[in-house]
This record gives sequence, C-alpha cells and structure tokens, in this order.
Amino acid sequence: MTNNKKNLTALGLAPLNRKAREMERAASPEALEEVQAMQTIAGCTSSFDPGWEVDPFGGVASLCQPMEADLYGCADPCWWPAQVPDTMNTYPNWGDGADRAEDDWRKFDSVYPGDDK
Amino acid sequence: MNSSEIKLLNLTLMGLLAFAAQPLVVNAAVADEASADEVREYLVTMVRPNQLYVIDPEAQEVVRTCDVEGAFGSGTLQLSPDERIAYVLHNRWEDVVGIDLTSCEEVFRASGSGNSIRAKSIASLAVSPDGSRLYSIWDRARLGLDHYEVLEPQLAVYDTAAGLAAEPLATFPAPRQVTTMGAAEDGNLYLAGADIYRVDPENGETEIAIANRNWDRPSFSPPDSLAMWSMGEVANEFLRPYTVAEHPGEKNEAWHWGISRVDLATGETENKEIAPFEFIIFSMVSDPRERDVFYGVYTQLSKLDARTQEIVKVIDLDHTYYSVNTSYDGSRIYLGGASSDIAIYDDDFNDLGRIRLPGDMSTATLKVARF
Repeated sequence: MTNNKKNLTALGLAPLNRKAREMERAASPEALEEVQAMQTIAGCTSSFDPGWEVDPFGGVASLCQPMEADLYGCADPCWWPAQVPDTMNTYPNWGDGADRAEDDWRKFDSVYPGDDK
Repeated sequence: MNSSEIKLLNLTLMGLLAFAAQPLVVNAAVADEASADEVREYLVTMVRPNQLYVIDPEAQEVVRTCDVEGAFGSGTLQLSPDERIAYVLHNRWEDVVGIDLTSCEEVFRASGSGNSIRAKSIASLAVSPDGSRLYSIWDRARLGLDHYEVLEPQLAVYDTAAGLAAEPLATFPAPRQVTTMGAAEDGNLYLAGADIYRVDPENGETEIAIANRNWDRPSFSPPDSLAMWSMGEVANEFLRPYTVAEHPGEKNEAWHWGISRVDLATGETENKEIAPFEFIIFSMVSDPRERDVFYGVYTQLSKLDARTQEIVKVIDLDHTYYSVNTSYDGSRIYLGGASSDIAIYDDDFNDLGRIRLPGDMSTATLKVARF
C-alpha cells in the first residue's frame, strides 16, 4: 500500500499489451490510489491477490483448503481470473451439473475463446 | 428477560412489522404459522445451483428447500425485520429476489440490469429496519457493440411491496468499491468500501463514518480488508474486520486484526485493533453476549478477545469456510459458505455436527433467522 504513489515503472511493472500501456499513460500516480488489493472484488482482473500459489505470508499454508472448497468462491466473483473461468460473465454455465466441487471436480473442463458458453 | 418473554416480544414485534411492511397475502401465511408454532431458530443459506435452504440447527435437518428462479450468485442474504423473508442477491449477481421462508413464495424481484446496461451488485444488500425498503448498489456497465462504458455505481432504493418486477423508488450516485451494507435504526445506511460510508437514503448524501483508507494514524499502515458476507443480524451490528501493520517497516513492526463496527441500534461507530494477526480470517461476528469477543472463520475457527488483545482459542477446520455466525443466545457457532456443509460448534469449539447439502454455498451468506 505504501507504493501507491509510485508509477508502475517505478514498481518494476512493465506493460505487456496495449491496454496496459494505455493504463500507464493515462493514470496519474494519484489515480493509482484508487486501486488497492483486497478492497474490491468487482469482476475479473480487479483483484490483485497473488493467486492460489502464494498466500499473504509468502507461503501456501494459508491458502483455502482444499482447493475444491474454494473453487466456486473464486469462479463466481471472478476472484482468480487466470486459474478458473469466471461464471459471473464470460462462462456462466461452466459449473452446470457440478454443484459440489468436492465430488464433481472431474466434470470441470477447460474453456477456450469461442466456446459455447 | 427469560426465554418465554423474549418469544412473546418477538411474536408481538413480528405481528406489528408484518402488518406495517408486508403484502396482505404474506400476512395471512405469517399469521397462520406464527399462531401454530413457537419461535424457533433457523439457518438460511443459498446453495448451488439455485436453492435457498432453511435448516433447523438443533435437529440438524433441512426444514425447507426453495427453488429460486435464475442462476446462483452471489447468494448474499439479508432478512426482513420479522426474519420471515430472505432477500437474496441472485442470478449471477444481477437480481435481488425476496423469498418467504415459511412458504417459498417469491414476494419480490428486482434486477439492476436492462436496456444494454449490465449491473452487478458485489454483495451490497440491506433492508430498512421497518422492512419497507430494500437497498442495493449496482456496479454498472453499458455494453456497446465494440466497447463497454463503465458507469457510475448506483444506490437503488426499492419498496419491498413493489412485487416481482420492482423498479427503484429512487437512485443516487454511490461510491465505487462498495461491498456489504447495513441499515441502522436511525435510518442511515452504512457501506463497506474504501472507508465505511454513512448514507442518508432519503437524499443520497454520503460521508465517511469510519475512515479506513483515509484514516490519519501515522504509526499504522493502511488497513487491508475483505467484506463479502452480510451477517451481523444477531448482534445488530455492521462489522468489517481488517489487518494492519503497526510501525510498518520498523524493528517493532506488529501486525493486528482490527474491526470497523457500527452499532445498528445506536449508530455508534468504532475502529480498533483486537488481536494479533497470525492467521487469515474471511469473516467475523461478535458474541451477542459480549460484543468485544469475536469469532472468525477461514481454515481455522478462532475466538478473539479485544479486551485482552488475545487470541483466546483457535482450532483447525476440516476445510475452509467463509461465513461465520452465532445462535442468538451465543451458545453455538455456525460455519457455512465455500463448500457444501454447515459446521456447528459450541462456544468452546466442541464439534456439534455437520449438515451436508447437495451443492456448494460458494459466496453465500449464512444467516440466522427466528420465526
């Protein structure tokens, strides 16, 4: 949080695509204060937690246990957009027929752009 | 006050509130059941794919299963003052649906989306203390053919008697990044966003009630918080836990759990550290008997005492739970959300059992209702 007043380059972040470059060009350091991890979960890509790989202490012991207990809690609010399809907007039917992730995890499939949603 | 007096008071209040706030058809159903049965405590939650569950925690049995038209999500719940109607955020976070818990009848429905605008509410639901108004905040985007236009978030005020195609009585601009909401008895709304906001729903006037991101505490870092679960009905409070570093980056750096809290009966606010930050907590409620004792849940169930700043007790759980609640007498702890079982413990964390459900609760709230 103490880095909020720095621009992205000063934080060692390099934009990789056009959208990211636009963001760096448009956002003033002050405007970056509007973006804070864990203060919002409104939709995909708005959450800056590190993901399933690392917990806030830098380890894995404090991640949700087991992953299946947390699966819909991540997919439904677009929490980890890279690891599971979001059921909020883009792949709303991804979990159809798999109501208990603990038992039904084998039914989850990969998704690809252009898939029947 | 003994239990029979409490029950009598509840019945009296329920009768008054039902006549004041509910449609006539519901009154009839409420009156029939109220006269036939004594007041009992129930757990209420949403389960995938689209069922609202009413559960007797003493018998550990499902009492009623209500199909709610539309897709799951988020399952955020708020109760009417008589606790017989559950308002659920549903249909992929885009609709609010009111369900009579005694009959499964759908008595209210509103959608924030329409006319090329997609609106999602991130757990932002509250019901006025008299039950006549429902509040939500919609995060909106206009969907164009080749672009999306992000619109201002909107606080929508609904008449709870407006039926199944309810339109807002009024809308006001709302702060961004708001999640949970609470309605106080003084008529104000409290919103958990970057700060805790106080909003007058009559005119939309908004002010900071508890500074979080904007607090002036030089020896503390900004707080980090998560507010997805709308409990607090048992202690009649609006509470958001946070973590914070004291003296960040210095030799005596110390991490704490803290709480931002609004007493919904009085409007009194407080913000304070309560215990060391040693493990994750996703949601927290206070003990209704001693409101400086707090229960937190995640992959551990914990009991924190703000008076001594200590972690009183912590146990590992079978799996992660998101949503913690207590019985009205404080003797039982209920854990839900995330996976597909509700765990019940006593206040000394003795395991009292599990209620297995056919689907995951995911982000749904675990509420406690009495009727």
